Amino acid sequence: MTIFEKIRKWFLKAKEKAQQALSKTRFTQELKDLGGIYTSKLARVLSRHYDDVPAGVKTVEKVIAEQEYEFAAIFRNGKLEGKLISSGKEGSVMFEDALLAKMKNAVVTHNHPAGGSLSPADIKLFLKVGMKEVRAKCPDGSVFSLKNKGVRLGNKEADNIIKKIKNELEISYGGISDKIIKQRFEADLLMKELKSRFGDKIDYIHYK
Amino acid sequence: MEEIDLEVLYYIVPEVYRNKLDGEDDPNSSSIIQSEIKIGKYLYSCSLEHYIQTIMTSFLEKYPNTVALDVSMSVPYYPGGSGDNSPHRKENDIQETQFNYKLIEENNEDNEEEYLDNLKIVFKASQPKLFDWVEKALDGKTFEKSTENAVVIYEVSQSPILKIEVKEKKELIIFIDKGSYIRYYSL
Repeated sequence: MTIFEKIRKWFLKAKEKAQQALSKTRFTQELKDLGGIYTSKLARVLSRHYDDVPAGVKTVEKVIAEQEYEFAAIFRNGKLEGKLISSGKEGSVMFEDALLAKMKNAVVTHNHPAGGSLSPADIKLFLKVGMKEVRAKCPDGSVFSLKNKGVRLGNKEADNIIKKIKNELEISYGGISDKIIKQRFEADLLMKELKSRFGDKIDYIHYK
Repeated sequence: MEEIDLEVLYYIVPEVYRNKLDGEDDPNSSSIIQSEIKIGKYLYSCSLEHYIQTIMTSFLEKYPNTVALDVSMSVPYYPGGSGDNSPHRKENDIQETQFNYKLIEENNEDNEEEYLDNLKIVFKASQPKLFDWVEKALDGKTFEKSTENAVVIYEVSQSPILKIEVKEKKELIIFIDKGSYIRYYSL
């Protein structure tokens, strides 16, 4: 490799890194401009001292909180199931169908590199697979947690709730083109629906 | 019968938008939902004959997204709608609808996927033309008609509809072939 090629390679790598950083800054700025999007007021705020999740979950959360990409971990009976999962994206983690069965009655945690409360996708996956708890660790150390305290849902019943909210969202807020604002509405509509159907059997907490 | 496009009931969510934490929705989501709302509005205001025929047609060739169909039939699309999951009809002619699901695999905790075993529709009053409506909807399909204990049974060939039972012209049950099940995923 000639010196010219080495310089060119170094330049392209540096350019790619700078673009990634700029993209992240823009994304975070967009969220800030929208007034702390996804920080749902529907979550009750508790001191993190009340967070009684197994120690292993907290240890993994400390690690993933510092990552710029999203990582997820599945815990069954307090033990990590398999490895940390990432799709190499800042704003999403995808799962193969085969992993869904492992999430049933499990605690599934992940990080939100940009902060904020649970997204509609988080709440929907929690419902669809029948998780015990879904958690999102934020860079400020706080955790959003949605717990199932005894609701048993068939998968079609869960799909029905999700679909119903989606339709109501389209009817009520169909004119809103901003995807992020729409997602905030969807997350809150889903939470309100769960509270209205299941009351205290569903608990949404922000551990600060 | 007025043409209503049911294509949206067969839309499969692309893999990248299925099982995920966070991330964007399927970009087709909004147009899909709008089409479902259109079906819902049609089912709310059409004649009972067209209501039955539209539902039967949706199962005739291919297993549809039954959750989308259910929600289309029950979400209120008019001012003051109750928001519950009861059937909504302008003419208030349906007593109840039941989507009865069964597990695809019994006793397998790793697979709790459910398919629609049958869809039951109960009318508020006896419908004298119900047999005509059913047979019209089955037009083009081979079926055998029989009667057992005052229940008229249509056994249908080469369709996701296994059979249809009509009781006293007041109750219609559409039984679905488990083998025709298609997983559509939710948006």
